[in-house]
Amino acid sequence: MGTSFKRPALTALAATLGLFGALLSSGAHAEGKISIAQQFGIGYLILDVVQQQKLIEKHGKEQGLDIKVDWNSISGATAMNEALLAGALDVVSAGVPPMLTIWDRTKGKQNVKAIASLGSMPNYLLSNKPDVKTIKDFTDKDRIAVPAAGVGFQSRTLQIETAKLFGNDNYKKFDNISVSLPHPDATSALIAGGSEISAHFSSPPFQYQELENPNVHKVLSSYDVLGGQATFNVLYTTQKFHDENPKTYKAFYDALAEAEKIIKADKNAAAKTYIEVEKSKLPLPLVEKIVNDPEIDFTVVPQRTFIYAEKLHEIGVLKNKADSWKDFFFEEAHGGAGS
Amino acid sequence: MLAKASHLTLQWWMTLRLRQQAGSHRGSALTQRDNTMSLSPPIREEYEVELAPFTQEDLARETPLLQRIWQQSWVRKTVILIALALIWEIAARIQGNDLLLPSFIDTAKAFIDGIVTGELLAKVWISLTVLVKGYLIGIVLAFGMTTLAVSTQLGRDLLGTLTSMLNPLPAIALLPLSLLWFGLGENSLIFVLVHSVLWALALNTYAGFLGVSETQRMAGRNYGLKGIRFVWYILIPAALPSILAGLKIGWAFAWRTLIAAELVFGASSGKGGLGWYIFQNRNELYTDKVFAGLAAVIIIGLMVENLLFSNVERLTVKRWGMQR
Repeated sequence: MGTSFKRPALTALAATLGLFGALLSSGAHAEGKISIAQQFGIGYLILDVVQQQKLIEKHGKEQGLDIKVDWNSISGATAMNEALLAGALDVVSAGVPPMLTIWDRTKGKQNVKAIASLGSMPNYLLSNKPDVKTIKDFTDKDRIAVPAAGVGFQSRTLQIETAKLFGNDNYKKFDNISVSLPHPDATSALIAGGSEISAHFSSPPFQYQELENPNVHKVLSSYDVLGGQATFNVLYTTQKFHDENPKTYKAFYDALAEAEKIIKADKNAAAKTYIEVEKSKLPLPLVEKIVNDPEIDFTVVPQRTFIYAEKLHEIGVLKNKADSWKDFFFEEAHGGAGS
Repeated sequence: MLAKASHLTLQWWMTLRLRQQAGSHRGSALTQRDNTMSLSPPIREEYEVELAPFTQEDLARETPLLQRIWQQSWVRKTVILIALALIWEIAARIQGNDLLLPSFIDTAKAFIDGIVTGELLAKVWISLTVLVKGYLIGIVLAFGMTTLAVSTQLGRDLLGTLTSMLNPLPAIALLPLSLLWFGLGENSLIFVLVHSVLWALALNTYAGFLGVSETQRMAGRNYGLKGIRFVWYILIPAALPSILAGLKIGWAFAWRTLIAAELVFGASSGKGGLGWYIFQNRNELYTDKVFAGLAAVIIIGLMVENLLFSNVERLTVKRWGMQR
């Protein structure tokens, strides 16, 4: 009770301004907190190992820092990008092309760059139509199922291959017959047959499930498009987080490197970890077979990511030209023999 | 001479009576009535009033230019829009993150760019063709149902039950179902659109029909009109304000549902409409194009309201005096 209640308008104004100030001001972020988002799938095995064995906390303690890790699951690269831009998450993970998109759009501003790779994995374009042997055999009646039509890893890989075969101007040729469907739905549609979905640009572990079916055959592998083993998913963050939290960042990077060593030391144990952490219903023998597949390399060193940057700039998807893969990776990752 | 004498006598007699009356006023009021009945009112001389000369110059005064401009409603609405655009621009500059909130100028550039390259116009055309198809089918079905409701008892119960069940159901909730039934093509979009238009329009039309006055109905029966002809010549014109309100609501629902369905639905048979344009640009982090797409949605809504519906109203219900 005092003068404030005699001037309700002034009090309301002060409260509103205070609220706006609180909302607009960026929260002060002390070192020792990191929020990470991952998607589902065998491609995130490194993160599953990090989570289960609490490697970030361990490496944080080595630097004398008590790190609190917040794990989230988000579906889709677009949602990841938006959460990162809005400041809701510190580190997000998605395919190489979405990371390049956000790098391109934030260059000179938030400067989003990649932290490390999450492993190299092939993505197969599968079809249940026997007369489709190469992508030239696709007609207007076919439908290719991808998780994010036009913008995701699989669509961009297909666009690069289309540009190679039909010219840079026609890179969007198969976007017209691409349909957005999550991997599980596309897998069942392709195996069951009878729907318009006649092809699915799949990822591990779904492609291995589909290939067990006699009707499904492989049309294209992402490794063929890129000329060899290529990184599938990457982790990325803003420059602000990287610069303001050097110790947390280093602890995180070291945790990833250690997880890579753990997986390579005992792949079958890693397969068990995957099933435990992601509560997967896949049978253990299948997961072990995938983890032991020689085409798959769980490494934090990026492989052939520059080809994406180069080709996507050529077809006009990226406005900025990268001179090397080091342009879109933070310095800690520059040590390995990346590409 | 005799007349004048009798007139004077009468006057003296009246004055005497008046004096008597003035005296007896202090008596009871009940006696007053018999006294006034026999008297005529006092007569006064006629006279003429001299009018002051008329000196006001103009009956009509010219208002200042600024006031005349302000009286135009479109001027005031434009000023409001400009003020909103200014606030938006300032807020965007303060925010400084053009991937989250692009400024008004960036959005305008993306919008003009979309029109010049024809991309935005092509997408708008695709959306509008699907919308018109769904809208017309919805209108035909609504009229069929309402005619049935007005003519038969079962029709009335059917309309009432179906509307109360299905009106609250959002059309987007039906989209996965319609994808299963109709596949990935245009037909599933049209199904969802028809659902969003049908119930609101049927409800409004039925309420309008119920409100038609008895006189007009009897006039119709007088002419021997029955069934469809009765509905066409009597009920529809009489209920036109309600029907137009239903059409406007149905249009708004359909437009919203179409944009939302295209966002969820993705590209159908290789061509996507405005919702798909917004969705894809959001995926590619071209937020200024997202805003340009939203601006296109708003502008089309404004255009349909101000060009189509208000003209229909002007030519029908306003001209007939049914609506102010």
